[in-house]
Amino acid sequence: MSLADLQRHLAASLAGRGPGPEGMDRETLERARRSLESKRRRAVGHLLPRLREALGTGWKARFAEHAARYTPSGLLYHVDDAWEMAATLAQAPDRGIAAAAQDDLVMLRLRWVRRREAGAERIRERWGPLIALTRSPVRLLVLRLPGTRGKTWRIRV
Amino acid sequence: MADLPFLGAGVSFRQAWRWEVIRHRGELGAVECIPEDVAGPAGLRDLSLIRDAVPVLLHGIGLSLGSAEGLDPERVRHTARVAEAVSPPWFSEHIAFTRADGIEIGHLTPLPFTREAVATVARNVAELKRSLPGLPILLENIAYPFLLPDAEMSEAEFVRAVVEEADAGLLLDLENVHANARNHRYDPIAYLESLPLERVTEVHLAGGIVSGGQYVDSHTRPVPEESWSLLEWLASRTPVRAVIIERDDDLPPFEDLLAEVRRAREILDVAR
Repeated sequence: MSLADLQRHLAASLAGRGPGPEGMDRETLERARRSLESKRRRAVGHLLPRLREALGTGWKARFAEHAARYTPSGLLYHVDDAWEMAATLAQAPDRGIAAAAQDDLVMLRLRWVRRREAGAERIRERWGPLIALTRSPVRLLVLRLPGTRGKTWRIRV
Repeated sequence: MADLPFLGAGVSFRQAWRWEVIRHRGELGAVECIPEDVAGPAGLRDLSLIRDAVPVLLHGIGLSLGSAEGLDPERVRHTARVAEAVSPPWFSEHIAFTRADGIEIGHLTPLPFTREAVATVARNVAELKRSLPGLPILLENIAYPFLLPDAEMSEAEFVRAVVEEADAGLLLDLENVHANARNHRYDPIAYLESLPLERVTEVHLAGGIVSGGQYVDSHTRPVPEESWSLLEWLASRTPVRAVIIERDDDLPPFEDLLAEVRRAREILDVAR
């Protein structure tokens, strides 16, 4: 097997999208896949604290669904990963989950912008201003001025 | 590599330690930063601030130098921009791949110990050198949780072949040596003796955990005694320019890190 084929099969397997290269122990690969998913979940959990709390014991299963569906990209792929999960769950029918996801998304948008296209620099520092409402745990008007170190206010409304 | 500066001991950079690093600059020989963490002008300004206080080393984690599909030009350009802003004495990356076929694996993934993999890394390093003219490149050994099939040589022979064919220096991660030796049951000193020690420029130290019967290089614990012993062995045989203590999670008080930095510096001083 060529190196390119080996890497393609291995990457797919570690992302849970294939059985892995021939000659490799399936159980070892599955253990590595679970470990990578756990690392990915921890990184995203740090970025989405409200959503993690709102999902409670369902967090792990919801993250597994997201991980099976989405391949993050870019230098800051953990931010891209968190952004996609929050944007998806901001549309969830459960209003508590949707509000938590939306609020975490606002916090991500305060620091970064995300390009539509995948690529190394998909996530960049935010320069432009931002006005948004958050709801958990209290209603806040979030206002950020332009600039990469733009001053931010959080006003209770 | 012989004319590279001696820096001493330092730490990997974490945002939470930004002010600690500046406050304790007199005790740090270097701070190692990850270019992938820089997402714009504010990140570059932070790096410049730190560089004004302490020598900054740049350590890539996502160039995927072992990718058969070649390097991502956008990532190479990003690395070059950060390197230009910081002017580090050298740039380091891993002997590994991190992506294939559009999938970002999210971790340093081992390469098969084959001649094709050696040639692939060498080809990618040559391309990287064209974008980082004049900047010495170091390559780092990784910890691997599994072995890939059809190996044509041992791990030590593979690392030697890669750094020699790529004409690169060696960033020797002694915690990875300790982890691999323990998990794959080999003698770490015999492994080190097989490496081209004259190419070692920098050393990484960290601490890991045992999980599922495997020693995992988690960068979450103090440096174990086994790795300190390997540093003593190594420093008495080759002039190590820098030792970086890595910590990624479960960050301790900065004072604890400084104690490890002092211990590393003492080992280097005794050996010099």
